[in-house]
Amino acid sequence: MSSENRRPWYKNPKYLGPIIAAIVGAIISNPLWVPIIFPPSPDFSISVNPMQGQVQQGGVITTAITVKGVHGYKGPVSLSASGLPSNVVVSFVPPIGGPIPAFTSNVMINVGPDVPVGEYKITIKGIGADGKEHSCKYILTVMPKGVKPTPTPSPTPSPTHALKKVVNVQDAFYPSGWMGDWGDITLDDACTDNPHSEPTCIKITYSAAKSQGKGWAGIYWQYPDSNWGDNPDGRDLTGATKLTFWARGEKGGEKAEFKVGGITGKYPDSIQPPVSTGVIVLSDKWQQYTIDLTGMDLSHVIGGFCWVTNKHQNPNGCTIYLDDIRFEW
Amino acid sequence: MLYQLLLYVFPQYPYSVYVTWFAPTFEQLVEEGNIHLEKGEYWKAIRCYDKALEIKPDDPNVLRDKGYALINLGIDNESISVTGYSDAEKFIDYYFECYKNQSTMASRYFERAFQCFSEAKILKPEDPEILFYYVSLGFYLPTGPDPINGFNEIINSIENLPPYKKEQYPVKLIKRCSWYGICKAYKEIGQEAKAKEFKKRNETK
Repeated sequence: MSSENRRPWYKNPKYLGPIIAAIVGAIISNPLWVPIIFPPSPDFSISVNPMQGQVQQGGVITTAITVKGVHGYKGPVSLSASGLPSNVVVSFVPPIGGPIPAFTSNVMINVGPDVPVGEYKITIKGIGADGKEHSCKYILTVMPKGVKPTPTPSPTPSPTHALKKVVNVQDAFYPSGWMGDWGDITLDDACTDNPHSEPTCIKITYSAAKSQGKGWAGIYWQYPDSNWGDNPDGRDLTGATKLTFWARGEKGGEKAEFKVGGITGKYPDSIQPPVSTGVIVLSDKWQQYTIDLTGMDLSHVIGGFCWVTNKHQNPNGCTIYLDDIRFEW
Repeated sequence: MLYQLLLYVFPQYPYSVYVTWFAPTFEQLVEEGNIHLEKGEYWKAIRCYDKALEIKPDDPNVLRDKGYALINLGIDNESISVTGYSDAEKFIDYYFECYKNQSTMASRYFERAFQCFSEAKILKPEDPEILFYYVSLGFYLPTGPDPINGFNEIINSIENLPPYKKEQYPVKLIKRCSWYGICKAYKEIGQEAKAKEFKKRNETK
């Protein structure tokens, strides 16, 4: 017998060529290998849940946007809304995020009291850093004041809800409750001087001039505007466990006290007495503070946040900065 | 009392010395008055303010706060209290309704309150809060200013404030309430069209 005849058939050069060709052909022709050989470009998808909601004139409604990365999309996606009637303001928390693998943005839709009753299709668009765009629709039904909206199911939590639900005090309450020496206060709620989160923060200047002869001053963030407990409306923030905010002083050493709730009157705050941080000495660097709200009744919050100081604490006045004041769940 | 004990131990010093030493300061009296005002104890507040005014008769803030205490004594509705700029619209509504319906109210307290705000206005003419209550209280008083001119004067003085002052929330609120006051004044004299025009301005925040 020749040595050639002793080799197994698959080692025979006569068959080897066709075998290799058959394997390569099988690999190329198999659709499973197509994405590896010709990888698809990374992209993202955008969805809204719930997809519709009813709100009274002058009310607020929330929903959630989920942006999912597809095929390893890594670039940041910024969110925006269009198709809004005038006096409807939509805010996103956060307004931008990286979908790795997904991020959720809480959307707060503030409807002005004079927005005409009707149905509006709001387009929520996500724009990637590379210019890719995807959008989804939210149907907003504005109802006349006094008509109770049908409850809308809250967003279904999914494993991609990495972010907790938050309500931004700057969006949900008005800095309308100026107290004490109100003439000593200057408020800039769109200050661009080194904000904690771009683009703006809140700047409060207190002159300690005793303009109204009181020796102290403060601001309540109220809902509705100027509600000192004589308006039955309020925010239902049930389930929130804490209020967090970032603060810094201009020079460091500024003293201030921050509170949640405590407004009395015919329709008082459900948080009684107010929950306070006590007097805090601020640093000139941003620092986060937390007010624990565990176990508090948050069903009717009208004084969402309060800053207060006095001449004794800051004899020469002070300038402080605040940012990202949020109720968190 | 400590001063009585000292008077017993050191009788050589006249009583007035101890009274001066232990008398509450102006700041203490004002603070005590403010606490009483917040609690709705208006007579006690007035007593504190009067004592404070004995020390500093020309303090416009104390005169204003005494004015608030007097307004509240004039209001016969326990659910309404007026203690600052934020009660401006509520006060106008109450005051005008009372006169329209000829309700019983102690108008003598409003007259005294008007007097306090008049004096405060002379001392602090740029204060929109004092101006507002001065004009509002004077609405039905023979010695009060013409309300339309008065409220217009407030709006003009606010327009002349530096921009950061104009942006202060209470100043914006007083401006809005002044439009509301003009609206009410035009209604009183039967000029409905003018009243509507100013009502619209009041509603535009």
